Amino acid sequence: MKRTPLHQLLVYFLLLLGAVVFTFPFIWMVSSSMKVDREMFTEDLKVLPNTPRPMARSPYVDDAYFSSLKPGAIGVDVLQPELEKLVEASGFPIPEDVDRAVARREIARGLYQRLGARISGEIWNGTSDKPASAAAIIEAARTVVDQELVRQTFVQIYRFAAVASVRIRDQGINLFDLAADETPANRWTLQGSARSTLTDFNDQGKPAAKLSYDFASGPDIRLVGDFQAPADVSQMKSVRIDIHPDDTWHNITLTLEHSGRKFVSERQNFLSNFDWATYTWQHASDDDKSTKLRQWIVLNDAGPSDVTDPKQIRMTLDIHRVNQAYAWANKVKNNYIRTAEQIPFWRYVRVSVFLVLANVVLTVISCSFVAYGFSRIVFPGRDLLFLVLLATMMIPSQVTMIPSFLIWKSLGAYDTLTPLWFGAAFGSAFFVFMLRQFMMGIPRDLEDAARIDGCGFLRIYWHVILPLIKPSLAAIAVMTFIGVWQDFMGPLIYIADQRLYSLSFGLYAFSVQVSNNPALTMAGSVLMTLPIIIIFFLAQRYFIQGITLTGMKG
Amino acid sequence: MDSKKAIIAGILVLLALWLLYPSRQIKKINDPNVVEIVYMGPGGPLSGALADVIREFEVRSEQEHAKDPKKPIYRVISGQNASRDQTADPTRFLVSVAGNSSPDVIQFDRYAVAEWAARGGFEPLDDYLARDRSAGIDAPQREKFYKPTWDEAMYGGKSYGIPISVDDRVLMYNKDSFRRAGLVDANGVPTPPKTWEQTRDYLRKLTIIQDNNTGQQMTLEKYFDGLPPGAPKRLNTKAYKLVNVGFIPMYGNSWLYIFGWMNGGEFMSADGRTVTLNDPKIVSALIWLKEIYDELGGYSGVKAFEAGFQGNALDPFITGKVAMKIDGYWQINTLGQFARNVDFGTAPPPLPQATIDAGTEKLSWIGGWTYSIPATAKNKEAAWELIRYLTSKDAIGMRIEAERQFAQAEGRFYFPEQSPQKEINVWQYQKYVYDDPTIDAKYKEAIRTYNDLLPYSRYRPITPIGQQLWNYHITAAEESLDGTKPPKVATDDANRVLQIQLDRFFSPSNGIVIRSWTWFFVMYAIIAVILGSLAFFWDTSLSMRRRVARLLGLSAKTGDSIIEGAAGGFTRSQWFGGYVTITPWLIGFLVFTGGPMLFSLVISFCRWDILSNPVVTGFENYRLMWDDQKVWKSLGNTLFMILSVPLGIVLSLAIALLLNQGTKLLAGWRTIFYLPSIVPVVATSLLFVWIFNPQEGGLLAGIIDTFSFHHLQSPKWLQDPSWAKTSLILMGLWGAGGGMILWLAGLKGIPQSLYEAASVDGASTIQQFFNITIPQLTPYIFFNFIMGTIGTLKVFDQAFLMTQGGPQDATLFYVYHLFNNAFRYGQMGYASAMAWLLFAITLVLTAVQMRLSRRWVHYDTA
Repeated sequence: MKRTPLHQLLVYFLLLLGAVVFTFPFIWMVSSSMKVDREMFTEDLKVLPNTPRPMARSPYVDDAYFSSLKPGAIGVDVLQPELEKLVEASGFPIPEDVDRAVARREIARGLYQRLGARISGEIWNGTSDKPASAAAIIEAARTVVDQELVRQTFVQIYRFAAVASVRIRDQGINLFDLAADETPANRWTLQGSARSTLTDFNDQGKPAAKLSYDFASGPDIRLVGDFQAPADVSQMKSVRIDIHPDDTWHNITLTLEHSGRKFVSERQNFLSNFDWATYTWQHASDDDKSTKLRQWIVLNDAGPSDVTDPKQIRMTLDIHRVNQAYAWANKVKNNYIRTAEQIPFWRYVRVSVFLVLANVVLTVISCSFVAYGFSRIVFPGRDLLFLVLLATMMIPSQVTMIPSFLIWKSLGAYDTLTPLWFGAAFGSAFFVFMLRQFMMGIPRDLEDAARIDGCGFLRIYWHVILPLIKPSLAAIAVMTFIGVWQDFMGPLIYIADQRLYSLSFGLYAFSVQVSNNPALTMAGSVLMTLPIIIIFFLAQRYFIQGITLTGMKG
Repeated sequence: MDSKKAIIAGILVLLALWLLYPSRQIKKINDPNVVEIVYMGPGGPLSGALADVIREFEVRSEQEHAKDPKKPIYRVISGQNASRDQTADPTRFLVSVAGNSSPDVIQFDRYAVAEWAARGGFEPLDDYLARDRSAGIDAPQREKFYKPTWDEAMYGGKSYGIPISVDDRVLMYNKDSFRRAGLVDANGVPTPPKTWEQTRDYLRKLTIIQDNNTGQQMTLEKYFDGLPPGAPKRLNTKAYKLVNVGFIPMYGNSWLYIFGWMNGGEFMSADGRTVTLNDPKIVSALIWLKEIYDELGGYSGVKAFEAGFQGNALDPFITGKVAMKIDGYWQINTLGQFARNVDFGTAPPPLPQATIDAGTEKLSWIGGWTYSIPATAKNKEAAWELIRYLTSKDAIGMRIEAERQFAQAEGRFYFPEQSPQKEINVWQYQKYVYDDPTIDAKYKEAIRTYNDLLPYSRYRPITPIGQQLWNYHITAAEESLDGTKPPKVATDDANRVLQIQLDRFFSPSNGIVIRSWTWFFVMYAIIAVILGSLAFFWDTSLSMRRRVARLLGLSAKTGDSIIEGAAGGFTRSQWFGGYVTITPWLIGFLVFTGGPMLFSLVISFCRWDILSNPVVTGFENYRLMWDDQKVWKSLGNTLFMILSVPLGIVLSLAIALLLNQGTKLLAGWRTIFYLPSIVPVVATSLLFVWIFNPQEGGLLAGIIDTFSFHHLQSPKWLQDPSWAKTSLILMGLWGAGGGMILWLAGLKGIPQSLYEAASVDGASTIQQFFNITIPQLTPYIFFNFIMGTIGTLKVFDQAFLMTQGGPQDATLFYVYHLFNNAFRYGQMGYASAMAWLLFAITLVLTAVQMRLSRRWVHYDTA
């Protein structure tokens, strides 16, 4: 065939085009897995996640929040100066800890978005005889914009870090508020190299201590709290602190000291998102090995401490500055860590690997053996049996599910892994058919030559046929691998014990539980897909080669 | 093969398997004091709040046991299922009941309890309740519950479940939109509509449309005013598009059920023996609904508008795209999370003036869950102990507290679920909502509206055909609203089908009840022997083959030319070799596959609901299938999908051809094209919602808009009955990379010499393609066709996961309908009959393909 440069160009163009279309679902899945929930539900859905912004100063005004506004008949730039005046006139006190000019500008933009829904369409969009005008809109806005509306808009873009209640939990289900009679700011003393202050304030009814900081003077902030618990704390289980993160993705860790020991958190947490959240740290316990959703960070023993009074607890919250690259890293790994941590991930992986290995080995052996019989040996009843083999693929599994279940159960295999791998020893109709087609293509002469040399059918299978189809067995191995790795109907029916869940089923169960957070589902899906891609990438050379060789053409 | 290497590899694999085999840390308990309770709930294994409560239950039983050793220690085993829920996917539940490994306590969708209770699936709880009452034990008694919640789980006068949750529906309205439209009282306070008549008026004032050409916006009312007198009041969707809609009746959570009840209609007669879906009141409610949709430009147009809707912060109610909707209690959580800055109000759903005049002031409808005990549970007493504890105020209080902490850990507002127990409901809202200063007044008001309506709530009819009534009432509503059928005809049609089903349930045809299955195994053995000997004689006796060939009018050649060595018998090595090699498959077939297949064949002549013994009914199932329009419709849908087989072949072949042009980095390209076929469905379903969104935000719609002429409108994809299947086929083509592998191999296998010879003869590239490439690939095309057809005839996943058979049954595929019958309608016998019809069709199609293949498939090996 001719290989002109133009021809090559066209080929690569089409390939690129195809690649864009075909990688799209995967790219979408990977990028979604790095998003926070909020980014999954926005008006202008973007493929890539938003850039995290590790601010050096906090509190601050988020100037990206209203960056893309749905334009009305009159653009935001035209209305902005007038809207800023309205903000000023509303009398809403913008806190002193943020840049007021920026705040005013962003509130004005936020107002623009809200006015579209509040002002009547005739004014906002204009009518055919009276086109929209900035003056009319501002006139109408004057009646709508009040202090409350400005406050609501400001709350949307105001980012601050704060801490509120501190609680500990005993081994049972009892929770104790610590230092409940102190104001939130008085519970902590500030240390660390960064300039920082704690001030009491009220966030929409919730008493809290706002943490203002500036990393210009140093990269660390440390909050130390000494608490008196109502009872002996040597048996305490976990610490729960209400924290309002400021969406900066800075690292936060807890060090806990009580009963003469010191405990440090196993991994960092991040100041991501901007809603109140309860951060939980828990002593290493049986819970870590259980199948519970793990929504805590483990505290590990790190040596002795001078806090020995049985009722005394010291908590040290360390906030460490991250740079842009680390902020990205935090954001990228966030959902993955959560997914792998909240479920017994490695246990599931182990079950899946076991199932894959057992299935692949058994399928390859049994299918090649059976296909050999169906394709290379002539025996009475062969054609009818082959028809039966094809027929087994034509009955929907829905109606044979119950009798199959009864069979496995009567064999004592319910709630064991056996039904999920033992069946592979008997071959799969699809692969037998496929291999039979390939084996039909092998020339008779090879076999005849072996037979003249005195080989029986077993030796022909082992020494003649298998080497020829070895690579196409690789293809079957890969396909079995994918099938077993992704199967979730089998575990659903046969496995009752969560400790025997496979990865696909475990992740499915997990995705049902966190259905309000699709980003976690995406992270789980990526974790499940990556091994397949790697295996495919490595094995596909054999895969292609295999089928080629069996043809023995040319 | 190198035998030594193989042995070493084998040992390594066995070692790896042995090491990997997952052990269970906790051994089965053999302590006679310990009673295991198997719990099955929706949404995966126990976790979070409920896990804490269950742990407390176990601890308490230990304490009780310490005091009184006669009392058992309870252990709750969970993690039984992770299907979405038992109603949507009762597979797991029914299989476990049939397999006699049913859970002891199950959390079940309340409206479906009666359906399975009627078939003997659940244990009546009246004895337990009466015993507790006379013993003075604090138990979940009927009078503690809101009446509708308890009654929904009753059948034939007995209680089959203890309600654990409830949610009713209210009208939500966006106050900003109301102010904008001037729908305020003298004090400027927005006023929600009270009657249907008002609602319609509000709808016109609240709906905003945009001129496609000029971009001008106006209200629907103004548009209607501008129409020439006498013109039908219907939006011209060619010239205008919807921007904001005042009210979409079926959006949110309001089905024909609630509108029928509002209008004074009933869906079942009081004695439960007659289906009254065609009640004139229901028909007139449908007519009113249709008029509303027509004003907005028609049902499918509004559906397409809805397809652009998203969740959470982009909920159309939150963004103001929909000004009023009737929706369920769970919305309060969405609103709490995303609508803190939206001014909204709630009110009882509006009623027709006539209904108000007749004395009904308000009405809503509820759903919810119960705890039930399956009839086959092993530890019923223990199960009841657990239920009693889980529904106690202690346990609920604990669960609520844990849930609150969890919600706040995620930075959300916490609103408890509505409780079906009156006292608890009052207590929890006082504590967690009304007394909480941080919760905004509008949420408190909304929760009050919801709770006030609870006693006025209706629930779906209690009937053994509940699930079918639900599905058919949706079909009837869709057909009417879309104008496919007039409302009267649509409801009559559905009613007829449902009545037949109901009559069949109450007066079933007589037949032998199958209690023992010994004969089945004997029959199985006999059939195996007969088939085996027939095959033997066929293959070993030439005279018999000739006779049969003559009998069937086949040419003598067919009789002769089966296989070599046939006439003279087979050598020992052929016998031995053949049967030794296929033994693994043969054993597998005889033990694991043949039995279930024969079983399903037997069951196809029976009536069987899985829960009770099958009854032989002869050909009844097959006869019923003939009259079941959905069978034929679904078969048509499925056959249409076969189109995807050649399309898939062409696309994957095209990709393979591209990759066969001496491309660099082949491994990378192959992996890229293979990617879509390995991305899990959970991940892609969200993506496809976005791709197929027919509104501006939609990906495909956007592309079509950009590249086409202005007047060419994007189809409504999955929303449009005539495009839904095509959309699914398009979706399927994404996975063409999976098939590409086979082609690449095939292309590699074509001898280069053939092309060289052709080039010498002066054949063009195109001629070479059609005369060399294609013929050489025919064996692969054949394989793909056969497997593609068999696979497509069983298409199920897309309907199950994405479309649920809609819109208007356009994606109701055969196996999906079969699944509905088997596991949702309790008609496994009927489903089996369907399976065997499908089997026959597949067999015929495969045989035809095999027969035709002789003409075009080109095997070049001897």
